[in-house]
Amino acid sequence: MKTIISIFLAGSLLLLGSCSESGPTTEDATTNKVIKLWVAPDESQEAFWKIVVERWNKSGLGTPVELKTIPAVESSEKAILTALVADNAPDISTNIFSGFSTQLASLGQLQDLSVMDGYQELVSVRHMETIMQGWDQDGKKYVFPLYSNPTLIWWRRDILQRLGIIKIPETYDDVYALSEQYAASDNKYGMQIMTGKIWYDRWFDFISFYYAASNGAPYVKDGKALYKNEAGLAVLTFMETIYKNGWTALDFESDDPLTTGLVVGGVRGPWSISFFERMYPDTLKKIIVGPMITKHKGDGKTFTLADSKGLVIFKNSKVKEEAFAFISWVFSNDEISLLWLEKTSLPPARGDLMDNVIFKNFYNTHPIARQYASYVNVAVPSAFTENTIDVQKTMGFEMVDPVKFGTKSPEAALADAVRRTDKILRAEH
Amino acid sequence: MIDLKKIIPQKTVGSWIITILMYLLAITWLYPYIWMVMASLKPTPEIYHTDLFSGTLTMENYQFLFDSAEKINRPFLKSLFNSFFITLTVTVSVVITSAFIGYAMAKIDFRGRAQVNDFILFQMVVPAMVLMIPLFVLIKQLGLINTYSAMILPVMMSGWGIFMMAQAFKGTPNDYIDAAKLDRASLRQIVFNLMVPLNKAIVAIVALFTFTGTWDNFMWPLIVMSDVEKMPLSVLLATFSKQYGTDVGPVMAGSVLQALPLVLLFIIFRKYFLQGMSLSLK
Amino acid sequence: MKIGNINIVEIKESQIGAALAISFLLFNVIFWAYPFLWLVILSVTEWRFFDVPTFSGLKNFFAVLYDPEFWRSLWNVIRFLGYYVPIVLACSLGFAFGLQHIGRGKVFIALSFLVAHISSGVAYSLVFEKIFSSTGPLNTFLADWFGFTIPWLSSPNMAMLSISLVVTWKFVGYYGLILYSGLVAIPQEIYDAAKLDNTKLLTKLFKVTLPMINAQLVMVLVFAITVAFGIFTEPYMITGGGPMESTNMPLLVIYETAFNRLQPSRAALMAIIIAVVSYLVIKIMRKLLEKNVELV
Repeated sequence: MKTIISIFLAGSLLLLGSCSESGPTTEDATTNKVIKLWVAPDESQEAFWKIVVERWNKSGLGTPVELKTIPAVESSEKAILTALVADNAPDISTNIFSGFSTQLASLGQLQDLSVMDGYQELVSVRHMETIMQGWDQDGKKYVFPLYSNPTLIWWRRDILQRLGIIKIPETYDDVYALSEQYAASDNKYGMQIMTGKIWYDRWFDFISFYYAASNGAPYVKDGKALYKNEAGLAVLTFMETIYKNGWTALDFESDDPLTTGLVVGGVRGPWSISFFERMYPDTLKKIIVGPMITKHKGDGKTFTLADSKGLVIFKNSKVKEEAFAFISWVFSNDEISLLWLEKTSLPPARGDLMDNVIFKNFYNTHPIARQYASYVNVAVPSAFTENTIDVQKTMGFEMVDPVKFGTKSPEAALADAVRRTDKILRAEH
Repeated sequence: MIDLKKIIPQKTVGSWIITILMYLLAITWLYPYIWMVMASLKPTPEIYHTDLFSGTLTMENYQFLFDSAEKINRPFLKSLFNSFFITLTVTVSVVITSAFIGYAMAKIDFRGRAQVNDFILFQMVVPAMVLMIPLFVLIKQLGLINTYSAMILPVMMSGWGIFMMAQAFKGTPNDYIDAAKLDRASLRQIVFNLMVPLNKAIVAIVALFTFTGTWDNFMWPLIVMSDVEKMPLSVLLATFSKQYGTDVGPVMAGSVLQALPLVLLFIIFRKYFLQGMSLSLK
Repeated sequence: MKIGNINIVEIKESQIGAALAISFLLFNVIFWAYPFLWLVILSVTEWRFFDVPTFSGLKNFFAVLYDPEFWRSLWNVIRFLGYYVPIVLACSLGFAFGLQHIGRGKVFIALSFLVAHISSGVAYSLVFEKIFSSTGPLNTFLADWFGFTIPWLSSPNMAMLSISLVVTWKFVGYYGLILYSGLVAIPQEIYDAAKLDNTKLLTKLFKVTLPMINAQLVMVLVFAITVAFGIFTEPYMITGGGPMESTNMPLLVIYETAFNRLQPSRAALMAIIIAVVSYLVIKIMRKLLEKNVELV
């Protein structure tokens, strides 16, 4: 019997030992007031926040902030969700995209920012009135957008020159012509038109191209898929033509094909600037940035997608007011706004980007970042739907992939995808 | 007569061909391991562009894993420790509980033993993945998300382990146990000093499979663990490769770290392992 | 005195036995029965991580019924089995026969195959992802020697085959040993009798050998089917379920439904369906193939 008792004892000791590990950390948080801030797992953004938080904590202006990178295992979304479930979520988190904010709001986890003290002032300082309208969710503003990343196309200037092309490609025909020329050489392709096979890659291929073709018309709104139209068809026909002629590879999985010169161009966001600066500075020098391509280049700037991310304050936070005070301090400070730009190159979500003097100097010396900034006002965020994953998976499975592999005509693919998406959205509402 | 039968198949040409073929296949089966180790020792740009055994050999990929851990928020050494801590705890617990309960199931007559046995068999039929989501609910209710306990507690006892041990213990003659009892041996002494040494192979199998299964467990820690500081190596490596997949060298170095302990264990205990395998297949 | 003594020991021992069994049962009440209860609750309620489950009747059922991705993942299990079962059976049989007939180095060869089985899923998935990549060593080899390459992981038709090859690599050693244990148990006399009848090699295989190891074959098939329904790490790591969802397996869908689409109740129902289907498939397979071989 003694042995049994000792086994139980050992077992319960183990249990106790392992339970207590989570104890102290949570208690700490309540006794000493501190704002827990999670930021995007991105080197340049982390560098920015490190400086800002240090300054804030030294200044003694408010409740101290504890900075942590989102422990993104597979995605930031999953990490945040786990933390919420585990009851150890931060007070503020950045890196929230439209679809995820819709999900979190429907789970009742987000604080409406528009009722916070100082909200109006902050919005007007940054001239964000129009931008905030784009983030309206049933009259509430759960997300404070931080940056708006337009997608644009990077071209290898040296290869274009070698091919005798002077004008940056802007239309499908331009791309066809250069692809025909470049793909004639050994093992080369014209353009990378798809970034990957995961659902979020649709942002950077179909949706980006669709916004360009449709002048920023929504693809999903009010529980309906809206891309079965001329614009959608034009994009798919373009993709079909590129794949049918072998002007792009089925996948580029080893290195970035821009660096190896496997392709002349591809869709990239401004986050690629700091990445290339670090990893491929030589390639970056040969890059020239052009608009998204369309069938016919219209007047004015070509529309594109804004991969836009913002920050949220969680409903269960005990320091909501303090957290918003911190945010207000950070984002109404001109010097810090400039620091953001210098560290990340990501266009801040504000309405005065091109005319505010504080950014002028930076943009004069950073031509690629300037290009991105100049597209912010024609960059449209992705759809606000709780079903982002299903919507974009359907795009891939029913439409983009069959066209890629030549198993469906663009018309049929478009019809199938829209029908299926409508069905999914109807089932949810 | 019997001798002849045994010798004849060995001397034919056919059997030589088979032997050579089997060696070639064995090498093929080892190839992924060899490639992994070689790739982990080469600078990334050379991996796809040099022959298997040529190219510059360097430890820089491993260096990268251990040095830049802080910078990219991927503490590989810590996660290696986590993996060992979790795996050893689970293995020790499963082996001890399986030995005691297995002994009870095999050698002690108590009321309800048949029913417990039926339950164990039934439990082994229900695939563990069915309970994944509700187990997550339980772990959430216990407040154990993002703790070591989430990865240890649910697997501290194993119906399979008990079943295997009980099957093996049944084969140990009762005389031994009776003799031990006459010597006033306690239950602990009977299990540890008699049953376990007499059934080393099966204990080794239970320990090895539990160790491998826990070390290799991926989906469950992926679900319950978002804290890099307490993450097992399997999950850390997976996320590292999702983010830095094109950096093949360090990814392969990480794979070596993840695979090596299992391979070493397997090589060290290969004798028990083969014995146990043939026992468990009976 | 002596009899009394033994009696006391026995009473005590049966109590110890019961106590040990109860500790096991208690453990299972917490970590098995309680989740089981929750599984049932979840399947008929709507629960979204933070709220209290509310009864929703058949809502989950219809949501799953009309979820094409889920049914495609079930279809993918069948596609996987279509590749995996013939390949892994042929390979393990070959391995078992080979093992039976080699002269020297039996242990070395058995270990070389088994070391694949004792391997970490994440690690070897990463290795095969690189080996199978379009510019990886396998395609380089093919291009150098035969002048063509194969889109192992990027074609929807090939990807599932590649995944089953990876899983085959892992399990051949283990399955092979199971079959081998059956082969060595066949009495030599049966072969001698067949030899006297002048039976052809192939006939001998199908008429004598395979029926004699029926029990082991069924065991291997049960394992193979279990693997097919429970596979997660390989497709998650190597293909992410693509291209075109051609390698999207049930566990991937369940995981994503619970933690990305944030619909854990639906995921729980999916898990129940998968478990029932896999149980039925195994049952049917056994009914069709299991024979009671009697040694004459």
